[in-house]
Amino acid sequence: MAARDDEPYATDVAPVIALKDLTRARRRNRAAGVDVFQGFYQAYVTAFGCALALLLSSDAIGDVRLSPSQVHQATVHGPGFVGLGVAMVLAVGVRSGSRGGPLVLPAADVRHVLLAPVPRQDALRRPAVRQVRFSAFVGLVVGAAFGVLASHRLPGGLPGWAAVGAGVGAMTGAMAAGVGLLVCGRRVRPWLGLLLATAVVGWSAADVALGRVTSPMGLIGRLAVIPLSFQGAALAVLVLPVVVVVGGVLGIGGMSLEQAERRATLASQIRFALTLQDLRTVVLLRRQLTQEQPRPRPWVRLRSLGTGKRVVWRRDVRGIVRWPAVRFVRLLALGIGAGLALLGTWAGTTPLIVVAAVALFLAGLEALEPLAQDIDHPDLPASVPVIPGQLRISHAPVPLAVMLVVGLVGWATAVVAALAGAFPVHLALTVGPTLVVTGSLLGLVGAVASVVMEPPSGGGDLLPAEIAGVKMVVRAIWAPAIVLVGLTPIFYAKSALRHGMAPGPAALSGAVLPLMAGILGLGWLRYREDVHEYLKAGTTPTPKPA
Amino acid sequence: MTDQHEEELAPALEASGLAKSYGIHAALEPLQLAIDPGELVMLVGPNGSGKTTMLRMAAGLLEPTSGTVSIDGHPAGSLEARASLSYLPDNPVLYDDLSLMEHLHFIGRLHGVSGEEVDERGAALMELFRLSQRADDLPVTFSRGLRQKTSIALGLIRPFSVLVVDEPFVGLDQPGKRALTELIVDAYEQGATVIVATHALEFTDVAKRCIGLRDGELVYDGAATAQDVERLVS
Repeated sequence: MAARDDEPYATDVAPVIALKDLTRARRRNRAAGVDVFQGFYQAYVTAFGCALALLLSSDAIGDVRLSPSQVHQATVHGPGFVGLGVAMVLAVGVRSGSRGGPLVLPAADVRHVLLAPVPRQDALRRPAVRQVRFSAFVGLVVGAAFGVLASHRLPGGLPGWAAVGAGVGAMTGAMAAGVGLLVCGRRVRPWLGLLLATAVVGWSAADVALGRVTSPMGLIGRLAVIPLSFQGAALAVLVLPVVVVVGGVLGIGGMSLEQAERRATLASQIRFALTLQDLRTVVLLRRQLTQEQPRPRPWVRLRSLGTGKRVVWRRDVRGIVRWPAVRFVRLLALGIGAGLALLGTWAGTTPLIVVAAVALFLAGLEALEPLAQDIDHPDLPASVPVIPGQLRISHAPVPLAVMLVVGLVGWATAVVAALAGAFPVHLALTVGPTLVVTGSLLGLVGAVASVVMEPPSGGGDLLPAEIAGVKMVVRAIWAPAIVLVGLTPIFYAKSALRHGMAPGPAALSGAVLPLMAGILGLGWLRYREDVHEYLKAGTTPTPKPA
Repeated sequence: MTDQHEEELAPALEASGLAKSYGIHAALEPLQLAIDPGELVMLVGPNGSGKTTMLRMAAGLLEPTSGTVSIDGHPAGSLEARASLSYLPDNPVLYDDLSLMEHLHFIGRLHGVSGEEVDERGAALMELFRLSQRADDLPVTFSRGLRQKTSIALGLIRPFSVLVVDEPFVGLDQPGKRALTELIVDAYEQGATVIVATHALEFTDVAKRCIGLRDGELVYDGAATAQDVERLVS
């Protein structure tokens, strides 16, 4: 069927109506496949889980109130730090936009809708608005949670902090999505995206360092501390999210189809891997999504692998010298993040220890790449005449060395903060080394637990949803929870300081349990098959002699 | 000379210094190529020679690293080029929650085809590919071959002046292959430009011009026999 010259495409409204009809038809077909009772049951289980989480977390947050001088410090320096946080979120938006995000369209939409003679602006407006709405909602929830945390330690009352947190969070989320759409629509190259993201974060970091507010993100920070101090001029920054979001939504028509198609394919695979809690696959797909590939030429040329016992170590080092720069930067950021989160924990915001544990866990996943590759391709290690456990444990030293470097970065962050007057330097020097060792070791062991974990069995389908749900949650959190154990010496040190004792030796004595857990974890990596064999033999009845 | 005359004279597909690379790997070296309106062209080459890369750039799905490609005188991917070019990919991508008939109606309407015309043309296509019994089924229940047939029907339900087909016979049964060949020849006879990337030697009898690629470079352009094609794909 050849095209007719008289057929108008760009000005015809029929395709736009067809798009609306498509959305309706797909919604109708999906609704027809939904079991109403199952939907209600899922809602009930979700509500049950949320209530449980609320109950547990409300007890977990029991923090000390700040002194008047500390409140003054928070009023003066708080906007800068909040601004830095906002800048980091916006930087993520910029980076995502330069890689074709934040929209993830169905692959069929890319193929059929975006290749049709319909103005892409019209076709993408609804998904873009939906994305902004979703990001704003996530920001609202996270912001409200931070508001609740702040209300535990600062004057101003829970309703005020929660409302301000929710507002600033929603604004930040919407802006992150908006700036992502803007960058995506303008087809900003990834290197330029990185430059812009660095500039945004750098400006806010300079504000923090100089103790001034010059960036728009700092003004948003001023809005965030309204319960402490209200400055009317900061309200002017409310124009910014409107401009960014409107600009992003209106400009999204320029997005790259190449990136949209890649995201469509990979994002659906990532979602599937997430439903299976297959973190390793998520990591691999994410690398494809961001086009993060090993360097064709290594940073350092190494001699041949040779033979002997250390051949696995040398193979692991070879993998590391081919890491792209962005992976080194990520490990550096994770180390700094862990250090800052532990500082916050020491200063009294106990839940921040979870942030530190997650940062070390993620670093562990990166460091453990060589072992993970062996697990991904079981045929390769199986073809080597070496006991599997021996081969696995041979992969541990190099990632452990990487983790120690990450830990040292975290420690250096704490020392710098101490030198800047955040807290006594001797604390950083005496407690820090213990945390470097235990945090690095357990960071690695947590990652090992996640990488080596078998996929979930289908047997859970027979369990009631409440039990299956709890089992699923435990499965998801137990590996990062192992890392948490590695950071517990900080509590021994805090307790010792409260009771007038030396915190350094206390942290050292608190390291016994994490070190034992780490050794056990590595032992499990080495003797996993033997342990399974032993347990199997214990549960199988011995046949009686005839 | 008016714009209309310029459009009439413009090649159906014109590549000028068109190149694509991924990092240090060049998928397509700078390519100069013009295909006139109404030609039936066979694009051949071994795996990794750059056929799909070239066709996807023509469809607007890939962005060239350098150079340009235009369809009927309009830049690939522009509104006008999208109206002219129908792309039948080697991997069918369908909505899981739309039936075959809903797919046809939706795609047809996106391209300005009336409901009656979709019904009429869709019924003929489904009959040809023996899909009539599955008109109200969702593609999730389809085999690879049925999905491929659905994808072909979607590419042909809409108006086009340039038909770009990538490895069309993969996954099709013999009647399906015959039906598709008939449709391709039919489109060509109606005046459309048809570009088919295929390894099928039997298509040599149908194609009037053969373009050979190897390692991303143009190595052959002209009429070809089955032996020529065999040599080009080996």
